[in-house]
Amino acid sequence: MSTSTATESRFTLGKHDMMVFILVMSLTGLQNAVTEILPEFTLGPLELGVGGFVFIPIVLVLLFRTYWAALAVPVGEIVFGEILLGEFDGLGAMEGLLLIPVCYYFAAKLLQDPENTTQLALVVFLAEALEEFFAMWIDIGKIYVGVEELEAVPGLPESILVLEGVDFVTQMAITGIVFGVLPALYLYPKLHGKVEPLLGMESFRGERGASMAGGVSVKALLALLIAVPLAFVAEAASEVGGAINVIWEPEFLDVYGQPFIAVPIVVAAAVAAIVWYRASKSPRER
Amino acid sequence: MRYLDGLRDAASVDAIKTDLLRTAYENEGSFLHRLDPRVLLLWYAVFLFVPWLFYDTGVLLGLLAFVSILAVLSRVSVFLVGVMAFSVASTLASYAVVTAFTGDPVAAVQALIPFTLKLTIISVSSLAVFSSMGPKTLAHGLRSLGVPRQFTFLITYGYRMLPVLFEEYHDLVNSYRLRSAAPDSPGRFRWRHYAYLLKLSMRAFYPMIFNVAKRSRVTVEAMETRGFSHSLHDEASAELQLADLRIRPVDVGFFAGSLAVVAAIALLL
Repeated sequence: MSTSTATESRFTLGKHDMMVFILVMSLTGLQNAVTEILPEFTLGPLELGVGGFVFIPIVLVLLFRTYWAALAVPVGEIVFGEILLGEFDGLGAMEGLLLIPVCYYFAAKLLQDPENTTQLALVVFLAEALEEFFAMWIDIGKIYVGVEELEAVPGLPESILVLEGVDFVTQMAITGIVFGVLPALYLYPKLHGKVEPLLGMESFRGERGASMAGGVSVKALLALLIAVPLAFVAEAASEVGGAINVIWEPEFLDVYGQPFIAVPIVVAAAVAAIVWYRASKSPRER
Repeated sequence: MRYLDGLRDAASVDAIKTDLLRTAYENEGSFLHRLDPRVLLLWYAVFLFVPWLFYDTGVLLGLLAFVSILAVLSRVSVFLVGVMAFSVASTLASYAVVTAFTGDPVAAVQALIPFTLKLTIISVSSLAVFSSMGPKTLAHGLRSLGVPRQFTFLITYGYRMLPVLFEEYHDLVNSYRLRSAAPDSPGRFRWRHYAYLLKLSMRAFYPMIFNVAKRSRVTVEAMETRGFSHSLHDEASAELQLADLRIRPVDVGFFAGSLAVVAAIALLL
């Protein structure tokens, strides 16, 4: 199994990793596209409807138990759901790339006894709950960064918390349980030991009666602790204007005049030029 | 309920399917399509950043108009725009409703309008950029910006496979429908009918998983026979692949022109 060590060899996917990656990516993307088309009752941040058949990616990650399999989930969502439909939102996708693999991988490692139904249900629920929970806080943080003087608007911060909290609960009930835990309990045993041989791999045996505690890997936990702040930074970076805006208040403009608006544009151009220079270097130097 | 049925017909699965596939594939000849993918990606990175620099609603509206023109030029599908507009409106409405209980809804909406405008600008520019880039150009662009080839391959693969997988899945759902009995009575608001369809679409994934597993194995094996891994570390192959990427005056002009437009909007409004 290729672990994620931050070196050049990080991108050496083995043949099996590649197969698993394609499998998980395609299926995740497909369920994403299918559930995208199903009618949904959306009220702002509240989504009452099928958020996605999350049982499919979760079960596949539980079967293959590699970090690559977990990474394929957000990649599938991005490639199929976002780039293909043109709804790609840049750094929001980064959030998914950082959060989902870590949450799913961490949960998958907890599964020690594949025949223990309770354990399976708990693991699936945990995977979804972790992801939704962190995503909720990131959303809240995003609005805090993106709205000017949020605290000054009476009642707005509370309403954001209420809406996001309600959204979290409904998501957990609908996506997490109805389309997560229940179908996963039915699907996992049906796939276990059937799909892995198709790809020429051993299926995960586990130990009868092993407890979940044995699967708490320190590395995964650390990754969880690091990825969440990172995801938030990525989100916040997309709102980096929010931070800069401390300077870009109108008063500042009154003092220095409108032409200063050109500064960020020049900065953006400079950043672009630097990225450009880096990229246009021939691959030999990398 | 008649109204709902009408809505469903208007947005029937097949219509949406063709619409989305058109977005993904038939973008030849749109203005942005002729540009270099790297320039487009850079432009996009800049436009992820620019909206956050302004709080003035007028400036933001100007920017929105600018990216909307680009989106129109790159023939974005109507369905996607509709979905986006609806979600923006409903987000604002829901905050207003909840804030009505906790404080001042008008002030809340006023505070949120610039924020949602920024998000909308970013989504519209993503629509414009990513629906005007074919899978191949996108992959080449990312590749030359240093994304490892395995990933760019997966992007192109995803593009290629989605319609195929979609068709296969649709056939599976239909065959399940042929072989199973629909509920006797549709129930109130036809909920039984919908629940039945939902259950079928979940069950249809079971054979789909095996199909895709087999397909992914064959894909990887076929790629290896053609020396995919071997070519990864070969510079000649990378150069050969990226040989047709060229930055022309029109690209530079587009990039500079966009920045000029942003500057003009910022100064005039």
